[in-house]
Amino acid sequence: MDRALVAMNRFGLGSRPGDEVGGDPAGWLLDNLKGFSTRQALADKFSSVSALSGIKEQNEALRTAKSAAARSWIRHDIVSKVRAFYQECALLRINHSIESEASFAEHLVHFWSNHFAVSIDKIEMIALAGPYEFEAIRPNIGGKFADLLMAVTQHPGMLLYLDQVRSSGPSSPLAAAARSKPKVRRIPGMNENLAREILELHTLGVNGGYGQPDVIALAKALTGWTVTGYAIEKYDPATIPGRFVFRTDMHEGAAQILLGTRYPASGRAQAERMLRDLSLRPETAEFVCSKLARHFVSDVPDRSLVAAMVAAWRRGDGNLPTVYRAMLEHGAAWSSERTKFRTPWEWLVAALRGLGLPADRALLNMLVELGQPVWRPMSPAGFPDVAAHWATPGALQRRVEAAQQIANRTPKNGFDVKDLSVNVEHWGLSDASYKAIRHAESDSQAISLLLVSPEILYR
Amino acid sequence: MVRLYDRRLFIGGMLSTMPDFCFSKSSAASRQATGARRIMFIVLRGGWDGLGVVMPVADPEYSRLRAGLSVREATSEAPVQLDSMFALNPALIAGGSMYRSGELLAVHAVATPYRARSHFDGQQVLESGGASPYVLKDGFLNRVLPLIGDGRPAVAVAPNLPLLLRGNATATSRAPSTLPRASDDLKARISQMYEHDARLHSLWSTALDVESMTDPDRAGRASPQQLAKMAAAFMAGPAGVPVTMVEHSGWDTHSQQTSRLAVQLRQLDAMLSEVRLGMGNQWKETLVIVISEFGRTAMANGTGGTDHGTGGLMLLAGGAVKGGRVVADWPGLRSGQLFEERDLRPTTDMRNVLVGAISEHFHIDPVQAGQAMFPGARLQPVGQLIR
Repeated sequence: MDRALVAMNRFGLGSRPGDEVGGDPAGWLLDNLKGFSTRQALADKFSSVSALSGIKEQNEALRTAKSAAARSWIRHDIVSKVRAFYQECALLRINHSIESEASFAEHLVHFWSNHFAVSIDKIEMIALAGPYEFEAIRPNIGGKFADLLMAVTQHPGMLLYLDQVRSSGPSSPLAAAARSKPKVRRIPGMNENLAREILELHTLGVNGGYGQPDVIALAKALTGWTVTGYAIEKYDPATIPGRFVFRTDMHEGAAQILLGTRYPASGRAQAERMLRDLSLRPETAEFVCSKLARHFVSDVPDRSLVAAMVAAWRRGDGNLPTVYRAMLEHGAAWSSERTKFRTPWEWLVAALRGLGLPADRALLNMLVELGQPVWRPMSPAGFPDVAAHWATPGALQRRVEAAQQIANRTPKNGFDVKDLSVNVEHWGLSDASYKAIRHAESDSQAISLLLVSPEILYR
Repeated sequence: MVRLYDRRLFIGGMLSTMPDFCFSKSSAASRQATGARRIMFIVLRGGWDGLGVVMPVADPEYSRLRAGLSVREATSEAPVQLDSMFALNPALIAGGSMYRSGELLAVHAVATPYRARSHFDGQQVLESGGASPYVLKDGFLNRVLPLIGDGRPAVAVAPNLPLLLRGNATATSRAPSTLPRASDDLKARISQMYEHDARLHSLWSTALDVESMTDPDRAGRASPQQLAKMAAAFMAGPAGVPVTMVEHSGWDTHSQQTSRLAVQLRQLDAMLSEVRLGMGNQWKETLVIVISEFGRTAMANGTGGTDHGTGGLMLLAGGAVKGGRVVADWPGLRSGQLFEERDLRPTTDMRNVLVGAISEHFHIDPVQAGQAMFPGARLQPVGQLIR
């Protein structure tokens, strides 16, 4: 691969016909961040508030419904509404990726969205996953890591996904009040899930030197971080659900010690200070830079590449463009060998970009067959990022079948694969791939072969 | 390229000339029985709540610790009494009937060597069989395949190959798909295109080999039942694969546990039913092992659920199992008896159960099996698990 192809495929989302990189590929990539539209169109339509609107009312209707038939209908209605919303968000994501001229920036959004992963396993998450990415991730990929972490942790999507919304401190006013009542069924209590995953998955990493007391300390500081309409509260039709809110009555309100540092009680600011300090720790720099290098460059990233990125992180206090620049200025980033096996998402986007095809529902649903439904990793650790997971015999066979489907849908007169004098350079095809494609019995078969050639499967 | 079915005959011919130390001292008849035996792993991701599935109802602390998580809220049925100590969550209907016919065995207060409660690391230890995370990079089940597989590949019915089956021995993933098959012509041209690409050539060859072995039902999405049904289809018949696995997620019940666990258990129950149905007469040669990375906290948390714990539950199901009992060295649930004052204390090493079950089931030497599955570990395989 020459440097232009590396820029477009390893760091971008795949070459499109007519793409030009110019003489400074690294600069071209970094420029993506400048021209990048952080708010995708239709901001209000796909906001968290609009995602959740209606669900609370319907949940209340469910609770007060008089018959099993009515309940069943209401449930069906909620589910079909959120699914339709999810589909629209996912289609927006993929079509934006296909059309984008700033594809390195889009690629970064996908990376961070997977690093701070949520999954559409709960009904509210089906609706919120799209708005979460559009609102918390997209606007923050070009600033400081601390700001990205804060936006994620204060977003209704993350708070709902990791069971934070009803977490109350053991000595919080709410818990104390419940204990003082004579006949109470359940005292509001604490949930440590979000705190644990912040330390283990988002910042320090599992070997980052924290212990159970640190998880508890962060969990206590985070009590009170909740979402309107989902906190511990009586149903009120006037409440607009889906906004971050800090509830003092649910908050633990005592000093906490996290990783040896004392954080005095200070309401919402207590956890905010903890998150900022976590962002600056060397373990966080090491963990996150390794993930970046592993995602973009190699399953086993060059140690000196990671070191350069970590140094840049520390120099810039976690300023992300400084880290991206360090990655793009290191020789290892530009190796001409394709070592990263594209995930199903990356592969589908690259295929559609290269063919100039828009996505529709059917193409989007192929991601389910390929094992990577949009925003559904089924774990806060996100989708795995190594070939051992994605490059297996059965999965390869699925790609071939999917390639066949894509080929069947490519307009007959719109794309001439046989005219490969331009395309060989465009795709960087090897002799073997070129030969196979040239000798295909039809355009459709040629496209299938192209899409499963090593040059498209790997980047 | 030698197709797998040719290789199988070749290896079959070789087997009869191999020296006896490769296999346990068994007669030709039981070596044939080895050929008929099947094993399926169901890996539950998320750390399932053993205490909520096989419930120690006679333990004096239990009702206090689990107030607010009563299973009666989720189902209208009462738990099924298993023995003087334990009752079974009523969502496991087929499981209960298997228990009564001696085809289900529960092992409680069991754990891997891992103690730190991270899903990621816990699953790595669970599947790799290492003493701690990332020491081993392949799966323990893959490492024991040469002793039990006689050359047939193992199959994970999943979109990708989980760690448990990754390694040097041949294993692949297969999952139901709504995509039409690739034409033979296309497949042939792809083989040619990959001739000089070492990575893709080997993946593609295995894919074609596995496809030639069976033609599983390709309709519809992959529900848990369908995955189990496919696994059974892969294993059924004299030429079936001996080793399959499926995975199932959603067990990380930090909140709303009563209802969520019931839903999960109904799915697991349906999976067990599908396997029994799919194996037919071979059910008596079948062993299903259900494992998870760790258990959950003894006490319910503040949000109607439980958090990550340590000691947990594993199940052995199948006609090959000496079931109808709960095997547990019960540590008790008083505060001083809990692990780190929060979790069920593990009293049995999961690895001992796994080595014991697999070596007994396939008539192989437990020492050899143990060395392959858990290299470097000091093991005491549990016996008397298999008929």
